[in-house]
Amino acid sequence: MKRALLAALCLLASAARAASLPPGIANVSYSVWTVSGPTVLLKFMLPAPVAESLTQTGMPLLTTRKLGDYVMQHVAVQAAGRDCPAVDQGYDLGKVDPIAVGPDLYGFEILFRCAAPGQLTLRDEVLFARSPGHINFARVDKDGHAAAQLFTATQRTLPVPAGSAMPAAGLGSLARLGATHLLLSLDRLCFLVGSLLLIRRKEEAAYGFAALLIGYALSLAAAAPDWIVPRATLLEAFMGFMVALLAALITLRELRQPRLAALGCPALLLVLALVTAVTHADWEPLVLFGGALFAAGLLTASEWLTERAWLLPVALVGFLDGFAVPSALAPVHLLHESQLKMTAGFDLGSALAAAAVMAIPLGLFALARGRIAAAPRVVVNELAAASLGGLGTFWLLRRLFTGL
Amino acid sequence: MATRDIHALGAAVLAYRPQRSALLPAAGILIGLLCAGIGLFHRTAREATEVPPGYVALVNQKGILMSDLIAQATTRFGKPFTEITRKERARVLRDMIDEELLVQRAVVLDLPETTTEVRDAMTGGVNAQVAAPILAIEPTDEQLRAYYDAHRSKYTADGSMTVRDLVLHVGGYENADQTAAQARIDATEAVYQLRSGVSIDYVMEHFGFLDSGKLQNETEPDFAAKLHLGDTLYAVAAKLNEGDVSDPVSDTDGVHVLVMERRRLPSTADFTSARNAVYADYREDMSKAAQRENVKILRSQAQIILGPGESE
Repeated sequence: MKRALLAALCLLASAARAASLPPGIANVSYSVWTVSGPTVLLKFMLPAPVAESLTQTGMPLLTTRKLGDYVMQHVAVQAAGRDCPAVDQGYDLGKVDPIAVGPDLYGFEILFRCAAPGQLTLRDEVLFARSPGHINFARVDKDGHAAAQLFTATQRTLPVPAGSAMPAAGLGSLARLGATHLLLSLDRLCFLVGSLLLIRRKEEAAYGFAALLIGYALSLAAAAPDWIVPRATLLEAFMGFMVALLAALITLRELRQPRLAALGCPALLLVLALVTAVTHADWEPLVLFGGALFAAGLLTASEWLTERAWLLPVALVGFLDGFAVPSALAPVHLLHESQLKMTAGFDLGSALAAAAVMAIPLGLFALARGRIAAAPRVVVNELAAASLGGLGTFWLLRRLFTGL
Repeated sequence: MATRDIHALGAAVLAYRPQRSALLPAAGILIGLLCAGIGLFHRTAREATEVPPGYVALVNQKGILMSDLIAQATTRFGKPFTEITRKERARVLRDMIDEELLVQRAVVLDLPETTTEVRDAMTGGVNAQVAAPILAIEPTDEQLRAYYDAHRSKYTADGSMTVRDLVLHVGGYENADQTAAQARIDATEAVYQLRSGVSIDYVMEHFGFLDSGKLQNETEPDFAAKLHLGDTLYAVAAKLNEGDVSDPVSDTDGVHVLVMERRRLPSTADFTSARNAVYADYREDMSKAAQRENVKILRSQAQIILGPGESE
């Protein structure tokens, strides 16, 4: 118990470092490129938390003008290998025109006019140097046809074909994006690796993979009719809760009095729900209350359904992670079909990466078993539960109250 | 109860296992997921694909009212809406859609923050909107008369005068022999003679009066005369009728005698003849009062922080 508490404290302290960028798929920006002959009108949008992360790179006072200048310096349109100049839009607007694009978003318009006709190349370097995981969701409008595209750290330029329509982002790049998203999300990684501690037999591993893939598939099915979108900040906070819930599941197997864990975790969540209700939060109390009920039911059921109960949280994490893209794509106003294709490709990459994250340690363990002395299971479970509990709680509280 | 008994009771409670039923945990899981789902997700905003009743078009989900189309079309073509052809109606609608697109573009460009012409137009619009309910109420005759009585000076035409300002200077090296007392005595005698019909030129020559030079010796409006004569002399001149001669008036440069050659008194227009002007002024004042009240309310609801050293 002392080791567990110490581990939890250490991890909480280390995890208490301020996050530089928002979690999950919230580290995004958006661009709409309207190509009309030799002119390209760029509308660039940056969420406020992402823009404010620039204050750590030498922009001590974030003003709209400074941010606009930064964007101007990091985007370009090229024709025949030369940069096309940005046009001064007159009337005191300058070359970078701040526009109103909604709450919590900075927006800018830049008009490029190319002297030489021919194939154009769009370039976006905003934030990639600082954050390799940053994604720019782009929409390229050309000749009345809109194509959904991506700018990433590894793909900072997009050629615009001269005579034909602009192609949409390929399945490969979307899947790569999904995989990168998952591999850079510490909370998802912690959950997936931690869930391996609940596997006792080979068939349970297969069930785990199946639950994960079912979760992603259900997410795609739910996103397909475009009826619902998640509240991104709450979704990320709920992910933190899932990590803490996994810790409770692991602890439940080791405790002599499992009823404590079965009731303690939901009780704490109920207290948190009351606190958020008193502070007049909008949807947080309902989410926390639902989480408390879910945790109580799951932990109670896992007392006798030890081998199966953990599959539900795994499926749930897959389901929630599958909504990463739909919540992020709203400002770009893609056609429903394009959005669905992006979601499917992204989820495919995430699911494959998640399965790999679970499969690789299992495979290594299967190979190494019997060859090296294994650490006592109880110690490993204790440390893992402490770490996951500390981290999960930290993520839940931080994302709930600060959105970071 | 002994401590051992309490511990034993607690252990018994914790160890208690009711008959196992999956119903309660399953219900907890389902209800929990439902509650969490309602909090985590929300419906996507549905875009309208049909024009709602009362509207004639949607531009980026913002409606153009049928009533606006009717008003604009009848104003443009000067005939009832029922007589307007489909082609004319389509032309008006096209212009209204273009206007809506430009207005939306102005909002996106945040022109109200950056462009003075837009700010002026918006300020005028808000002031007109605030004054509209006041202007919709027609004032009664009693209200207009009360306003007229309170603001008579607005409806008073200025008078005019042709006045000679004769001065007997006192002091200075040119008038070393002239004392103030002596000048006063001479002036009194001069006034007596002027009132007896003696000519001004004779009196000026005999007593040593000079024209002060303050006036042009032509008809001047009262306000101009006041400006030239100064308050002291104008106060005396204002009381003179045509042909009157004032008593001697001591001023800083000597003793003055004013001769009113021609006088047209200020006249106040009567209410009937000034009614149109009174009506316009009354409504203007009411509008301004409403606009001032509106600004007062806006200020009371606003958070205004002035920079260091600034004041208003």
